[in-house]
Amino acid sequence: MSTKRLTQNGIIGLLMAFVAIGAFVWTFYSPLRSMELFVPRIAMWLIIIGGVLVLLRDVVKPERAPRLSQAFVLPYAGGVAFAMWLYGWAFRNIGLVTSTFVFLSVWWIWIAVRDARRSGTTAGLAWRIAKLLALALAIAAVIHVLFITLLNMHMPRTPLP
Amino acid sequence: MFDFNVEAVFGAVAIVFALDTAMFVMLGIVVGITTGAIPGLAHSLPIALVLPFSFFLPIHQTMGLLIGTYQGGTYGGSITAIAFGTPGTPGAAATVADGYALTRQGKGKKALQMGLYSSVVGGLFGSLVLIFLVVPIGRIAPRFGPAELTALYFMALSLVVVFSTENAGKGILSAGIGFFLAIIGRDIITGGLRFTFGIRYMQAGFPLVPLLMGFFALPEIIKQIHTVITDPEHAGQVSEDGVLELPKKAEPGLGLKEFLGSWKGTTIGSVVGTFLGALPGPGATLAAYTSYSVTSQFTEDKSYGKGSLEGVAAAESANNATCGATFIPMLTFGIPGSSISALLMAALIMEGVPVGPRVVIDHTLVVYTIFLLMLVANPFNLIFGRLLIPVFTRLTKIPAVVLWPTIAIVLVIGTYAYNNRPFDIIMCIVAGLIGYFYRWFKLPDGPLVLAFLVTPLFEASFRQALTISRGDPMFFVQSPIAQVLWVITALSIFFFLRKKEPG
Repeated sequence: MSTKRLTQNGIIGLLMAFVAIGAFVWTFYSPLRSMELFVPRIAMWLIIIGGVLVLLRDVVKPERAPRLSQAFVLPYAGGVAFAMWLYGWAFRNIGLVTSTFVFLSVWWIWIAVRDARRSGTTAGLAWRIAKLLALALAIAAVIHVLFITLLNMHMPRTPLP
Repeated sequence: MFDFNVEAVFGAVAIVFALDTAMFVMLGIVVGITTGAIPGLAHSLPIALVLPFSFFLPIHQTMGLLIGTYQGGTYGGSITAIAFGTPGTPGAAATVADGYALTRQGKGKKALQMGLYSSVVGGLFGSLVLIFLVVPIGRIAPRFGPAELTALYFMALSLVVVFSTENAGKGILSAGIGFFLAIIGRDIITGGLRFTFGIRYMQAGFPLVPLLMGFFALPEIIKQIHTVITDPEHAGQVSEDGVLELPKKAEPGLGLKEFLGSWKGTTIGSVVGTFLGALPGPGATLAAYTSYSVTSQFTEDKSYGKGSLEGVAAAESANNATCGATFIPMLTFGIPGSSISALLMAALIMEGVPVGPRVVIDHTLVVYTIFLLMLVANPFNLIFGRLLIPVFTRLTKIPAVVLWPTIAIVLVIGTYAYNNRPFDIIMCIVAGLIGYFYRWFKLPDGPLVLAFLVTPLFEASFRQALTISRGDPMFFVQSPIAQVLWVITALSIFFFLRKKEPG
C-alpha cells in the first residue's frame, strides 16, 4: 500500500516545473517573435509536464521513487570543474607540455603523500613519486606529439575566459 | 534493382584487391580507430586531414584511405564509450549506458568485442544495401519532404522518450531540457538571438561535441576523483609497490552464443541505421539512439540499459550501418547527408568525379570501386579492431588515480581541438555539471541527446512545412509516408502506456 507523501525526487520535479513556468511567462515579455518562441515554448511545456508527472508519481507511489544520493559532492564537482577550466587556461598561456606536466604532477604527488600519511609509512615514497613524475612527463610528451606536432593545434595566448 | 555492368565490376575488383589500395584502406582503419578513440576528435577531423591527399593520390587510394578512416573512426568511438563511459564520437553516445556498465561489471572485453562484431555486421549490411538498393532507396529518400521529416523526427523523439525510462515524467523532463539546450543561439530562419544571455560565443548555439564530451565524461571524472579522495580503497587505488600493476587474471572474451544471442539488437540496428543513414540529416547518433530504443521493446534481456550486450549491439550496428547508407543520397542526388559525406563528396569532386544523378552511368567504375571498398573495409576493421582490443582492455585496468586525471586532461584538450575555441571548454564543463545532475536525479540521458540533435532538424522541417502549406496543419498528415510515421508514433505511445502502466 502506498502512503501518500512527497519525496525529495518530487520536490525537485516541482521546482523544475516552477522554473519552466517562470520562463514560459517570461516569453510573453520577450522581444522575440512568436515563431521564434514556438520551439522554446514546447521545451518549457515538456519540462512543466515532466516535472508535474514526476511529482504526481511520487505523491501517489512514493515507495517507487528512486533514492537520491545524499553524499555531498558539490565541492568536488566545483573543484574538478575549476581545475579543468584552469588547465584549459594554462595550456594556452604557459604551454601544453608544461601545464600537463604540472597538473598531473601536483595531483599525483598530493595523492601519493596523502596515501603515505594514511598508511603511516614513507618507505618507497620517493621512488613512487619519481615514477609518477616520469609518467607525467611521458603523457605530456605524447599529448604534445599528438596535438601540436601531428594536428598542428593553434593555441593563441588568450588570458580570458 | 541495380543493373550490373560486369566489365566495370571486374575492373573494380582488380583495383580494390591490389596491394596498394589495401594498404591505404588498412592505414585509414588504424588512423580512424585511433582517432575515434580519442574523445573530442570527431572522425570528420582525420577525414579532413587526409583529404588533401586526393590532390596527388589516385582516386582508388584516396577513397580507400577515406573510407577506411570513416569506418575505423565510427567503430573507434565506441572504444572509449565502453571502456571509460566517454564516447569518442557522438555516434557512440548510445553505447555508453550498456557498454560502460559492462566494463564496471568486469566484462569490458566482451563489450568491446560485441561493439566490434556488431559494428562489422552493421557496416556490412549497410554496404550491401548500398550496392543492391542504391537506386530504389535513392528514389524514396527525396519523398521525405518537410511534412514527412517532421513526422519522422517526432517519431524518433517519442520512441526514445517512451522507451528510455519507466518513469515517463523523467523522460519528458529530459527531452524538454534537450529541446531547450538545442534552441540556444541564432534562430535558423530569422537570425534572432534566443537565450544567449548576452554572451557572444553563445550565438553559435550549444556545440554538440563539447556537450557530449562533458555530459558523459565529466560526471564519471567527478565521481572517480571523489572516490579516490574519500575512499581510496574502493577506487582501485595504487598499491604500495606498483602504480601501474595490472590484474593477472585474463578476462574472458565474447562467446559465439552470446554474440548470436544478441541477434535482435544487431538486426534492428543494421536496418534502422541503414534507413536513417540514407536520409539527409539524422546521422549516426540519431540512428544509434533510435535503434537502442526500438530494441528495448523487443529484447528479453533483463539487464538492458544496465549492462546488456544486446544494448551494445543495437547501438553499434546502427551507427556503423549508416556508413554505407550515407553514400546513397550522395551518389544518387549529390546531397551529402552529413558533414562526413560532404568531405567524401569533396574528395570525389577533387578527383574529377562530379557527384550527382549521372555518376552511376558516367563513372560506373568509380562507383563500383567505392562499393567494394566499403565491403573490404569491414574485414580490415574486424582484424585491426580485434588486434587493438587487448590494448584498450588493459587501459581500463589502470588505477583510477592515474587514469581519470589523464582522461580529464585529454577531455579538455580534445574539446579545445574540436574548434580551437576556449569557450568550448566552458561549455563542456557546463554540460558536465548538467550530466552530473542527470546522474544524481536519475534522469535518462537518451531523450536529452536525441532532443538536442533532432530539435534543429525538427524546427526547420516544421517551419518549412508551415510556410509551404500557409499554416495548414493538415499538411502534416497528407502524404502516406507521414501517415505511417504518425501511426507508428501513436502505436508506440499506446504500447508503452499499456506495458508500463497496467493499473
